[in-house]
Amino acid sequence: MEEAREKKSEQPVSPQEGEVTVSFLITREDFANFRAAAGKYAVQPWEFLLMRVSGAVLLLCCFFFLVLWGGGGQRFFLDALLGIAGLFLLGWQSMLPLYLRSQAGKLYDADRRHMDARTVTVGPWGLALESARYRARLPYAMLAGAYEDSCVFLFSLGPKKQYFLPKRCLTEEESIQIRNYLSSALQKKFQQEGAQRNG
Amino acid sequence: MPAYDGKTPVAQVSQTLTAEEYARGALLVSRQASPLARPGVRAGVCVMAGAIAACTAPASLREYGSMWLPLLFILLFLALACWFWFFQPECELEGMRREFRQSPVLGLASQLQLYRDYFILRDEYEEITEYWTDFSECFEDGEFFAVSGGTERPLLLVKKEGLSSEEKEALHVHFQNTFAVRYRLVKGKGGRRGGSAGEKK
Repeated sequence: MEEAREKKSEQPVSPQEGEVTVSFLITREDFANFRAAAGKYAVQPWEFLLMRVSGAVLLLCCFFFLVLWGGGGQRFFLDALLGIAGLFLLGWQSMLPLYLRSQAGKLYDADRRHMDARTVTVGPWGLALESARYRARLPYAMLAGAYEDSCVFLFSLGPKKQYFLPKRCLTEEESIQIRNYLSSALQKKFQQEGAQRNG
Repeated sequence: MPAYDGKTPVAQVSQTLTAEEYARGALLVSRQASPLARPGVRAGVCVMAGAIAACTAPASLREYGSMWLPLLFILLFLALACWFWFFQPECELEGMRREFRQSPVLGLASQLQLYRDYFILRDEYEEITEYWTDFSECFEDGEFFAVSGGTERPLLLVKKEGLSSEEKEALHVHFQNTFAVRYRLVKGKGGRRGGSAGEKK
């Protein structure tokens, strides 16, 4: 297998001016942050809005039926279910990252052998990724999108394939540099957590 | 047939996937991995649920003096059955086509070298090396070898189009040996062998 890998014609990535190159080992916290970010990135802002509106409608229906039919027995139970469903939908956007983070720990432990060291290079030309099993030098046109929150930069190659760069490995200047590259190259395909909430 | 020594490729394939091919391959994996993903099974479950709802009609008439609630559920489940049988397969295919269009790297021309223990996939921008042990299942039909569950490439499709009969046979034997009970030959259009659908090898 080593001979086969050596046969590849790809040249090693050499650091160039303006590039940010980071090597890191994926920790449990990194993976949890990644899963939470991937979950937030996967859901569109309008979907979050729809959930909140649906939750508000269910809650209103709960109070309406309570007033209309009154309490007692089976009807109160059904009203309560309606109210609980409404509250769940209203709070879903806040609960989703917590749920994903809780599941991430189990996934990390189960898949620990794949949590290998990564090297990520971000430059004005695109993105280079390197790990034990994956090497890529991708122009920004090959990215489906990117996402930034307080903990990670997320790079999406498609709905089922994302890579990430934990911000703990970056200085403030490097974070700003990467943000500038992504926003100028990807424009609307680059989402930021704050902008997503306000947009 | 090349020696199965782990150093000589079992097959070398050059291919470019289209959205339609990817959708068909993904659908193959989806339908074979879980019986509940099949339209017939889903529609059947809905019909059974409608039948159960119909059975509650006398009790509803006796208890509440009307049948509108069971009738509502019967209509709902029948509508769902029609949806799952007639419309949802096409929606599922369109979803997979959309997934392909949202992943630019999937449509790149690629070269696959399939070895006994692993494979190497190279395209214009990437090089992926994955072991077969990282994958969970393998399905074969008349069009593809579809291997699912990988880390870097969750779904690997090897098109049979363009392969010689010796290469197809070599790959068939290779995947059968590698995946054992997790390998399944699916009878379908242009199916390679006869037998019942979802024949397990």
